[in-house]
Parts: sequence; structure tokens; C-alpha cells
Amino acid sequence: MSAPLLEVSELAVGFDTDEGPVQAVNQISFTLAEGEALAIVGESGSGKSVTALSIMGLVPRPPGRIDGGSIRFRGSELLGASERELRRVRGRYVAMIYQDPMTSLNPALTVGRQITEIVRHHLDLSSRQAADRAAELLSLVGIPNATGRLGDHPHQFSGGQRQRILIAMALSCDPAVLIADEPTTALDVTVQAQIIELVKDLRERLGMAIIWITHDLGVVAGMVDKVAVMYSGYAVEQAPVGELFAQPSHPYTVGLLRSLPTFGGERRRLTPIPGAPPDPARGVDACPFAPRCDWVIDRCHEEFPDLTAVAPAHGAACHRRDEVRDAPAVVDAAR
Amino acid sequence: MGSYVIRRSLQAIPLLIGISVVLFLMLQMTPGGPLASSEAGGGRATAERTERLREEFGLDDPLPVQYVNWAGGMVRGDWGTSYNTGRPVIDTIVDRLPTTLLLTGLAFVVALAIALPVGIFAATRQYSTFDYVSSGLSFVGVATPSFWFGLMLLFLFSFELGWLPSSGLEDLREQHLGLAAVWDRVSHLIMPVAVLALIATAQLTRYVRDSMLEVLHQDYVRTARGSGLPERSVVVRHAFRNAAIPMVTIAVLMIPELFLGAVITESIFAIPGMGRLFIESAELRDYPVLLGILTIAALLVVLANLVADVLYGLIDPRISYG
Amino acid sequence: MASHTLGADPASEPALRAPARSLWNDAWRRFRRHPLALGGLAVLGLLAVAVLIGPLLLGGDPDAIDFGAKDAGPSLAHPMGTDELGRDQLVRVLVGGRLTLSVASAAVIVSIVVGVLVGALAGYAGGFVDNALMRLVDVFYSLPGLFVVILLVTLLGAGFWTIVIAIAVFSWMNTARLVRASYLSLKEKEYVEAARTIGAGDVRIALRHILPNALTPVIVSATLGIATAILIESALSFLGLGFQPPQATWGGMLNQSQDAVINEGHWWRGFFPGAMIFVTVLAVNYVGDGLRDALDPRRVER
Repeated sequence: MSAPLLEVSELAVGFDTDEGPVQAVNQISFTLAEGEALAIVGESGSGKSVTALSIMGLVPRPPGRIDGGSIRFRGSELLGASERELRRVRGRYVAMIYQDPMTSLNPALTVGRQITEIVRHHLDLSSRQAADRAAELLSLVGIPNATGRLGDHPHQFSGGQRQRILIAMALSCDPAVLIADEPTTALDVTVQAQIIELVKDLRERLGMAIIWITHDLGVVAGMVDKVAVMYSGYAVEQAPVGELFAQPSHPYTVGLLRSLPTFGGERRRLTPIPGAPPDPARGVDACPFAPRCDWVIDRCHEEFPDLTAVAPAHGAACHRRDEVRDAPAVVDAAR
Repeated sequence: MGSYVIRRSLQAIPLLIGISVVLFLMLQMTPGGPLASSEAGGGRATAERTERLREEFGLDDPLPVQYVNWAGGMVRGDWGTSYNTGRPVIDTIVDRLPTTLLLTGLAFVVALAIALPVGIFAATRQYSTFDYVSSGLSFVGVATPSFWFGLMLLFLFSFELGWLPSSGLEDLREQHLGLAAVWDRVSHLIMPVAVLALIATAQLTRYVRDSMLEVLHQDYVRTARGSGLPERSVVVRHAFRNAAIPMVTIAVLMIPELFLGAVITESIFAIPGMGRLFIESAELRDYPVLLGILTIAALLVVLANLVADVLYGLIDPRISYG
Repeated sequence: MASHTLGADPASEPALRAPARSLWNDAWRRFRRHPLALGGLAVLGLLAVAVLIGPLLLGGDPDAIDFGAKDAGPSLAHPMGTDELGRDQLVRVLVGGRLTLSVASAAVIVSIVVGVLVGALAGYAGGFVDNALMRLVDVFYSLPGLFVVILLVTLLGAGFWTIVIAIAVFSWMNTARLVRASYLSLKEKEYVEAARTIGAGDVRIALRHILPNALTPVIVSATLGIATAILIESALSFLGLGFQPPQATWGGMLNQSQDAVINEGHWWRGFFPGAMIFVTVLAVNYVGDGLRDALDPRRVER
């Protein structure tokens, strides 16, 4: 297989806040091949959204800073590229959909306009062609009466529909990568399922690579090929999805799995992970998860655990990774 | 849409009535009532004359009757007669109104012409030198007393440098022709307009900048940027288009303020406008004229509010008027 | 949105970071971070002192006539120059400041009192009373402010309280709206419900719970109101309608200096009184800005 489509190495992103510098992302690395789907899972504050925004170059600077690392798309370095170069990639080869569909669309422009301006800019289509493409896209994402609705404004659509429109906009130029930043978090549960189904379906039809960001590990099982679990800005475990569910090797992952409700199977208590996520403003010389960890030993407070392999393509950042891995399975992998 | 305008206009009527009542009452509040000052009627008030005037202007009728008479007259177009000159109030006002409107209009245009580009540019280049300087200047501008500014301008450009005339609207000593005539009019207007526009420009610049900044941080601007659109499209079609909605309202509401501010400007530069007329009439206790001017000013405020409302509805697609 | 669960295991709960602090301490800390606001406060303090005891310290008499030194520009002896009667302008400016500042302060206090009363009444009573009062506010907003102030002062004579009331009549509406808005939003807040459940009466609720929070925007508005009041009073005096000589205010001095400045080039006659107005208003605005940031309830201290 040729070079990966997207390659993130040792990405580090910080923010300058009133209380001092905060490290939002610490040395994250992952790759994405053509058509591959990756999930980035973590709580709020784990750095997952910032990672996604960094790929698109959308981290506001100031107060944000890129502290190091590299992001390569088809071999070209995106970090440090000029705005002009980034604009050529954004929307055209790498597209993103966001968490809150209610505020992510321009209230003053028609939905059709918001789509056509993208395709006209990137693909240089005529207004006729662009309008046709827009209608086509709206149908693709399941908006009925697509052509008729091109002239409507965002407030005339429901939340779920708005997210579909955003998906249509993202896919308008047939991008190679779709980054979805918690696209279902702000929606009702039933609508969530619809959007997830839609994205799965589109992926099958169009074959783009996906980075799916979520705090809900349960969503990713049927969706992605591999998972990266983030905690406090660090990647604490990375593995193919089946591996992760069957043999989690980091206590945090285990905790996440344990807190998932499951249908069928034996009844068990939902176990939340005690404690609260750490304050990113505090620097750490030890494992960031130690205060909440069931498996903690002295070494965890003294030495920072690096991400190390426990199996091929499977890495965990825990001093006791092998023991964790060998512990009995938590969740039925076939969900 | 049309029905909305009509509805809003009808709603404005009780407001106007309320205003007129308050104004009318205010004038009655003076010690001794109207005509108490011996300057009325040209300073030749004798007991007889005062009595006659009282009858003529119906000042002995009970207040509500006086109010109804006056209000009724206003609506019919009869705005009364000046105590001072005996001319119909409307004529007096019509004499002076265009001047003030010209001044106000020019100041408004100047303010917009400066505030829009500066404010937008400062917002897109937040934290830059330009931003700090323009914000600083706006802040300072708002604190500057217009009459002080005018006086200093007069000193500099009229006395010291002799470039601009110090008063009036045109040269009364010579008759100019052609281009010279144009420069004559223009040169008389430069400083008054500058003084009047000063505070409006400062306020508007701040407002434009704040409004743009807020919009630039919205999610949909991020979406637009994330779609790879050129920065200019993002700023104009996405950011400004939305920021303009509240901006329009603020800008329109500034017009009545400018109208009032003209009082000071006309005073400094001896311009024969409504402001000067108001002060003169106040000193002469010329109530009909005073009421007339106040009514116009109030009408202007109400009208501006109405226009702002309607414009807002036109520009913001989220609002539809059934 | 967050999926962590607080309280599941109290023993491992991280200790609350900051001890509970009073609102005012917080506010003062934040205020201290604005150098311009602090500077403004310092300037105002200096000004107040200068205006109150400056003339005494300098030993000058604002009405001392000295034809020998007439029409002189700024110098060591007369830092702000002299007028056509040889009176020292610095002393006159300082003395003039007393009147301007006291009028402005009084006007703001009156407008705040009226505004709070009306706003609180409207907010708490609701219904017809609220409606009626808000209509009244609308009417006052639509009145041409400066014109009516001029009118009132001309008709009722230029006395201290007349001017104060005239200015206040045009500033109370903003306060009223702010107070009413605060009441309306806070009336429904949970802690009012909580207070009610423990039996606190209506008035008690109004005073102890709602008022302190409602006051925050009012304080900011009041500060900025001082600036406006100063400008209005100065404008009035400048138009010759405010305090009459020999009572001097900055605006009045500007008025009297017009001829000297425009026709004889004695710029100092107009520059200094106006500069005083400018500096004072600017300082007040900076302080007001700093206060607004410091007291903004939306900023949560971590």
C-alpha cells in the first residue's frame, strides 16, 4: 500500500489562557489510509476536537499554538502551510462537519447558496451546474424535495436536517477525508441513529476516509476500522476496533467499555469512572489517569507511560498494559 | 410585509400622542404659564395686550381643551403662529429645516463611510496595531466634547491657517461663481460636518467592530472557512451579512441623535438651522414654534425607529411578517 | 455533553480548587487587571483633589483682576494663561470643576434612584403596571433629549437643581430597563424559588437576593452616566443656557472664550477648560469599561 492518505505525527497543540499555557494535545500520532475509518474517542477536554481542528488548520491562533509535530496529507505538510494552500485543501480534499448543526450554518443565506458557493469555488462550476449538484447532494443526504428546498434558509430545517445539509456541504467536492466532530452529540437519540446510518451508507457509496470523533465508544463499533482513545490530550490506546473491544489494554478504555449500556447478554451494573477529568492546565510528570485508575501502582505517579505496543497495530500507554489486556473481557465485541 | 408596516405605524400613534401630551404639559409648567415673560410679542407687553393675546391664543381655556385644539390643529397642518414673528410656525420651520437636514445627512454619510471600513478592517485584524489604534481613537472620540473640538478646529483652520471660514453657510460679502461658488459652500460645511460627525463616527466604528468580532467567532464562519472559501467571501458574505443586521438598526437610530447634536454645531458655526431656531425661540418663549420643533424631533425619532424595525425585518431572513 | 460522573465516588473527588470568594473581591481583582481603568481611577482621584483643594493650595483667587497680566498665554506664573481681565485661568478652571462635577454626580444619583424605583416596580409587579411603566419609558426615550433639557432650563431658570433634574429626566430610562430586566430574569431563578420555600417573604427576596445582582449593570451604567451628565451640563453651559456668570463651569468658560479664541487666537482660553472636560470624561469612560469587565456576571472565575 502506498503512503497513507493522512499522517499525523507527534502533534502537540497548546493554548494560552488567562491562567497560563494549557496543553490541549500532547504528541498524538496516527495514520489514515484511503477509505479507512478512524474513531477518536475521549471525554470533553481530552483534546479530540482540537486534534481535528488542527488537521483543518482551524485552531484560532491566538490563543492557540501548534507546539510541534506534523500533519501530512498525501505527503504535503499541512502544519505551517500558508492560508492559501490550506484553503485549497479544505472543503475540497479534507472536509469537516461539526458538533452543533444549529449554529454551524449561516442563518442569512439560503441553503442552496451555501452549497453552491463551495462547489463553484473549488470545482469552478457554472451556476446551473452548481445548482444541480446542490439538489443532487441534498437528495443524497435524504432531504425530501431537494430542488424545492434550495431556496430555504437554515431556520426552516430541523436539527437533524441541518446536520444532513452540513454533510452535504462537506461531501460536495467528493473529499478524500471526512472529519466528523461529534456530529450527533447535539441531536436527539433517534436522529443520532439516522445520521450515523447516513454516514455509514455514504461511506459505502463514496468510499471516503473518515475520522469520527465522539465521546461515546458505543457508537464506533459498527462504524470504524480502528480507534484511538484520548485522555487529557494524550493518546492512551490505539487499536483496530475489534481488538480494542475484545482486549482493551488501558484502564481508561476498560472503564469506558464498562460504562456502556448493552442490550441482551447478562445484566450487569453500569459502572461509571470515578472522579473527574484532570485540569489540562496542570502539567503532569506521571500518568494523567492515575488519580482515577483502578490499576494504579506507585510507578504510575512517578513515571509517564509512553504509548507502547502490546500487540501488532495495538498500543497502550499504561505501565500495566499486559495485565490489563489479559484481564477477562468486559464487553461482547459483537454489539 | 406591507401589513406589518401598517401595523407598526398604527402602533406608533399612541406613542406620538403620549409624547405630544408630555411635551404640551412641559410647556405649561413654567411659572406663570406662557406669556409670563414680558418678551412675548416683542417686549411691548402691557396688561391689555397680554389679555388680548391670551384670548387670541386661547390661553384661558382649560388645559385639555387647549391640548385638543393644538393637537387637532397639528394634524390638520395648522401648526399655529409664532408669538414672536406672527408668521405661521410651519413657514418658520420650513425655512430652517433643510439646513439642519443637510448637515445631519452629510454627517451621517461621513460617519458611515469611515466607520464601516475601519470597523470591519479592525475586526478582521484583531490585536493588530491598526485595531488598537482605531479602537483607541474611537474611545477617545466618544469622550470628546463636540463644542471643544469645534472651537479648536476653528482656531486652527480659521484663525491660525485661514483656510476655512468661521461661520455661516456661505460668503455673504461676495458673490461667487462656478467652481468658486462650489468651494464656497463646501468650505463652509467642512468643519460643521466634521464636528457633528465626530462622535457618531467614533460610536459607530466601535459598534461595527464589536458586531463584526462577535460574528467572526460564530460557528458558521468557521464552517465557511472550513469549506476552503476565500477570506473575502467569508468576511463579506458570511460575517458582514449577519453583522449588518443589528448594525443597520443602530445606524438608523443615530440619525435623530445627529439631528439633536446639530444644536451645538449650529451654535458654534452660526448656521441658521433648526437648532439655532430652537434656542432663540426658547429664549423668546415662543411656544408655538417650540412645540413645532419638538414635534418634528419626536416624529423623527419615531420614524427612525419604524424604519429601523422594518429594515431589520427585511434583512434578517429569520423574521417573516405574515 | 461530558460523560464523566461526578459524585459517583466522593472519596476520589478532587478538592474544589478555589475557596469561595465574595463577588466584590473577585470584581476588584479583575478590575486591577485593567491598567487603563486603574489609570482612569487615579486621574479622577487627582482631579477630585485638585478641584476641591487646588485653589486653596495655589492661593489663587478666581476673580482676581490683574490688567497687567491680561491676555497672556500659558506661562510659569499662569500655567493656563489669563483672560481679558487678567484672571488666572488655572484657578478658574479648578473652581469651575467643582460645579460641573457636583452637578454631574447629583444628576446621576437622581437618575439612578428614579430608574431603580421604576424598574424594580415594573419588574416585580408585572402585568398592567409593568406595561404602563414601560410605555412611559418608551415615551421618554422618544423625547428629543437635548431639546427638552434646553427647554426646561430656559423656562425654569438655570439653578443647580433645575439643571440636575433636567439631566436626570433624560437618563433614568436606561437604568429602569436594566433593573427591570434583572428582576424579570432573576425572579424565576432557582435560588429565588429556594428562598421562597424556606419562607422568605416577597420584599425580603427582592432586597436580599435580587437587588445585589440587579445592581451590577446599574453600577456600570451609572459610571458611564456621569460622563454623559458632564457632557450635557457642559453643552448647556456652552450654549449659554446653563449656569450664568459669575458661576463658572468648564462649559461656561468655553462659551465665554469663543470670541477670544476665534478672533484673537487666544487658544488657551478654549483649550484648557475643554481639555478638562475631555480628560474627565475619558477617565470616567475607562473606569466604566473596567467596571463592566470586572462585574460581568458571565465571567466565571475558575
